[in-house]
Amino acid sequence: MADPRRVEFVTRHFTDLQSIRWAPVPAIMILLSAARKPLPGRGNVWVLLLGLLIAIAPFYWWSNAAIRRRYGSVRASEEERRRMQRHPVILALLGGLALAIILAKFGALGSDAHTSDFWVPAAVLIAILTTILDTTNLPSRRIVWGIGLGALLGAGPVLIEVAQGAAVFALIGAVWLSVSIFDFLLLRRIFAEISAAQPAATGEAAESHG
Amino acid sequence: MAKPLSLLPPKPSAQAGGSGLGTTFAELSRVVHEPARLAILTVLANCESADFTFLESATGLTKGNLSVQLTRLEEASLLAIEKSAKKNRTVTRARILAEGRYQLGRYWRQMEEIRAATPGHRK
Repeated sequence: MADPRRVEFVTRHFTDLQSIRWAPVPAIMILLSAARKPLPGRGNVWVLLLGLLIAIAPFYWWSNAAIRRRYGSVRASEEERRRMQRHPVILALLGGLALAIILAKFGALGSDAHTSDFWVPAAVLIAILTTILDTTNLPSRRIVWGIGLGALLGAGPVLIEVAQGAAVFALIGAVWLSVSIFDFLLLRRIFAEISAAQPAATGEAAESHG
Repeated sequence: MAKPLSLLPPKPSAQAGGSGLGTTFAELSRVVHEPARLAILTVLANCESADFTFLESATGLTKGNLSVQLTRLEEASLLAIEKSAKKNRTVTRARILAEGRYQLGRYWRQMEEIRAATPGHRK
């Protein structure tokens, strides 16, 4: 029989491990950066996001169907979906973000401060920390995501000034794409390991039940 | 009143059935203890529901064996199977029931108790 911890992990995190479905987003970010396009203005963020959504929809639909056909589908329990939202660090970050947005709205953080200056980095940080802090994840996955966060925090502040912010765009895209590829390879590897253990499991069952 | 001392060994309990196994071994659920069914219950205990293809991928069982084990678990009222039609094909989804969750938890507790009580395997 396959390692029960891996079976449990792959069931709990089956959807998380499919972030490869969003791969066109980081790929476009890297391409835009290579074309030396600067970060979009604050007003254009929504236009850019809408354009990205239209661009990625066909790939998302195709990859989703391919994964479902090959590995099946799982519905996560409500408790599992909300488990990490109750983590003290995530709650503290959400509280801090809410406070920063309120202060920015009332101009307490200077007239130049905008809400997107807070929620965009906070959303990225929360998404990454949710994976790193989740003890039900395999250590290798937490380490890889930790390296990604380290790269963002280490090089991000330096690159924000390079090529009008285009370099930081490439950095975020590269980290996102790397962890997505890692997650998908991990998913494939676990299923391959389980499949390799199949003759033993089948044999045991056949022996017991004729 | 104090219980009188007896020189005779204690009678085997009814549950052990005089098989020579300790009470805890005899109390293990045979339905849950089988590796294929244990794998299926482990998957289903960690999600709301899973389809047949996922159970096949996550347990490494063949279609035939998986189908047999799912039927046995359904007969034991440990899980529920729902079938629906989607694009001219039948989609089978399995969901663990409260009894299945209880039996799986009980099984692991009993295994821990056996391990703790076995000389040389204590923590």
